[in-house]
Amino acid sequence: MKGTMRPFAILGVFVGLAVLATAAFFSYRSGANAPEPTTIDVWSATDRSAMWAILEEFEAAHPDISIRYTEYNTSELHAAVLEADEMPDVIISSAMDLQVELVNRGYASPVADVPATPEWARWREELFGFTQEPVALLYNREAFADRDLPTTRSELAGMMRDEPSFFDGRVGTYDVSLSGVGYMFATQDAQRGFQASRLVESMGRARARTYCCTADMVDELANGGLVLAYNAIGSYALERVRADPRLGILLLSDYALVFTRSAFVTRASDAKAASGEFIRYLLSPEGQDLIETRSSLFPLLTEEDGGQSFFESRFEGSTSLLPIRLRPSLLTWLDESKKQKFLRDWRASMTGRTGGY
Amino acid sequence: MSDTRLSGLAASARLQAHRPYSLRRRLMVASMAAFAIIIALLSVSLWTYARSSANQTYDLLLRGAAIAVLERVTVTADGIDIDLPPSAMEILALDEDDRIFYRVMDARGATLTGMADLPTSDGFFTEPPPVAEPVFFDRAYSGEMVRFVVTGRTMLSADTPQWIGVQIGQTRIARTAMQHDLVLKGLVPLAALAIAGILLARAGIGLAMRPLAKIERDISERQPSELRPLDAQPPREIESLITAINGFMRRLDTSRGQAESFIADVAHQIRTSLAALYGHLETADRRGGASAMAVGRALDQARRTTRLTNQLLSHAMVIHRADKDMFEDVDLGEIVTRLVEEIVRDERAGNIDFEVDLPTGNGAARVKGDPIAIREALRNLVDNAIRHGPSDNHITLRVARTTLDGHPAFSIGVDDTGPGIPDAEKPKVLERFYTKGPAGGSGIGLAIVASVAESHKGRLSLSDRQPKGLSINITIPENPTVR
Repeated sequence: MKGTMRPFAILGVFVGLAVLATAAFFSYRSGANAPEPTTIDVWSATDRSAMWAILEEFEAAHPDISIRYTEYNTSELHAAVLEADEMPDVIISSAMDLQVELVNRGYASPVADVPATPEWARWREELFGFTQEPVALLYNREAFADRDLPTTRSELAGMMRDEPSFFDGRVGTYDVSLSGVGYMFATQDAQRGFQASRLVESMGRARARTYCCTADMVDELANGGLVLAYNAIGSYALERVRADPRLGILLLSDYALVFTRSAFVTRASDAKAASGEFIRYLLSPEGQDLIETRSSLFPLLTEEDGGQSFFESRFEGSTSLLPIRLRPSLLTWLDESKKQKFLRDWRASMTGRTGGY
Repeated sequence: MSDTRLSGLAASARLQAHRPYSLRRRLMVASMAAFAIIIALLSVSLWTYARSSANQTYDLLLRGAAIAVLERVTVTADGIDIDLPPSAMEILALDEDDRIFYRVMDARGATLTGMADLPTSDGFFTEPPPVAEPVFFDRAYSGEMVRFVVTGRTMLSADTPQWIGVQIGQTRIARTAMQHDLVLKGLVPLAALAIAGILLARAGIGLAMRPLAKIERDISERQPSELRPLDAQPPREIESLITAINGFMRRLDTSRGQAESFIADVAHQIRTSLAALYGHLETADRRGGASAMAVGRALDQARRTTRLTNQLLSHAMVIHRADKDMFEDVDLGEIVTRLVEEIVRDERAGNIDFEVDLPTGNGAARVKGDPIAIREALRNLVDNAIRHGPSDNHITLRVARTTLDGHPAFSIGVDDTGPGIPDAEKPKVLERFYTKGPAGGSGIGLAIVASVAESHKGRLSLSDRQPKGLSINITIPENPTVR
């Protein structure tokens, strides 16, 4: 009995030593990469291509932080967050109203020491805008070669009413029932005054076509299917306009809406420090510089005059910028009955069922 | 090193403890405490005031927003139409950081639009119809305290009137900020008031203390002999103190007068005695034959003068010692024994029988007292007994336990078999310089004994013995300070 036990005992000693050695080796290895690697889960309603440079540079500057980037469209993102079992760490979206709605629900956690930004573009030290992007009028240069461009909304409405043959079926805008930002632009227009409803009526009379996205409108403009597109996202469009001589981009002089992409750290996040670092990076000089030079987006922090000359050097026309404020007043238009009513009226206008013959 | 520091601390603490308290400091501390209490009370009321006024201010906004929403609720043929006005939310978004919650509901509390999970105050919807006046309340919601308003109005529709309510909530950030701001702005003048009050109290206390300083100056500037009453006009609070000081001065003046008359008496006595001695010596010098008798008289006179001087000094000493606190543990038995031994050794006693009667147990007769004064008193009593008694006198020294006014005490008695003192003279013998009988003492002895008895808060009594003799008793309480 004793004789058979001995070899096993010796084997046991060897196995024990091997285990110890392996453990020592691995603990030595993990001791070498001192900071524990952190992964930030980012859910974003922004093209990965627009954010790529920032994500890459941020990871390069913070070797201990890696980013898992998941792309959504704005309303998908909102729904996903409301239903999420496991919340992401950072939420980025261009739908300011939906972002405000989430923060108002108490989903966000404050971030300290974020660089100073205009007050309209931040709320509660929780929600931070990091771009400013104007809403623009796109047009086909060929179609307007011997025509005057409209300078105001009432002029545009007048032109469409006066020349139905030219505009008929060749005006594009967002389908507000499909696109979250399109809805936001339309409601902000409606809130600015009566010109907006007149313009929608005119577009309805001109049998305007509606789109889900700015890119589709740009495509149609380029191939001559549209002569102009109202309320397109200037930043996305500008890239195409610069590459395509057939396209023009214009800011109407009565006002130009400016929206901001915003980000917040979720309250449920377990990587708040790293996520906060990411938010600070977005608004740091390096981050803003990357947005200006290596993405199609526009930085929030430009020269002293709040972006006026920044936009005037890139767009035709001169205008007064009207930033949409990151405030709970945006909640008004998310109200279900309000939204149904607005969509009903808008559709009625677009299909010419009101005010028509 | 720490030890020395510690002991230094202890010493300073002891010093502190022994320092007289300061009236000024007491008054200051009391007035500051009063101010602190007043400020605390005012702060509490300031806090509640600030809270209610912040609530009132922002409740107006809430109510305004609610009215704006209600105004856009209409009853149409298709049902209730709610067109949420942007202005309602914008009113509430005026304060930068507060979150906003709202819903529109019907009379049963069912949400028509907005956030369905908003809490209402208990029993709000149980009493139909819900109130028309706005109801404000605080509730925790979505992780924060939220101020809510619920208000509504009755809509007239085609069939039945219908109540439509609006509930709007706003987190308390702006309210709290305003409340803190108000409290801070209120506390600044309060603090200024407190500081001014304390400074005024300080000045007032200084003013009130001024008569004391004046009295102090009056006393310190006086000549030592100046004992006339203080002429200060004292405030009511220290009037009795001044009266007491003046009374003390009067007594001091009296006792100084007594001391002066004692000295005058002493001077007169010694002068008279010396004059007699001088006369005897002159006679002895002039006459040849009768000189022996004159010298004898002169010798006698000189002895009397010496004795007189000794007794005067003894008396002065006893009185002087009585002024000071020289009491210690005294064993009466030991004093008595020593005294008798001394007298017997001096052979002054001759054929006189001495008897000592002590309470049983060695050292049993202990009192708090001045041993020298007690000894001096006993010696005088024994001397008197020897002087005035017959040569075969029998003197008993007796120490016995007794009580005095209910306190434990000891009586020391000296009994003799001499002629005694007639009752009529008994009070007189205690006066200074009253002498009696052929042996004619200085007249100081019993006065010394009386002084000692008095300084020990004791009592002196004289009584006759049967068939003859005198018994003198000093009763001394065990602890004179108790009385």
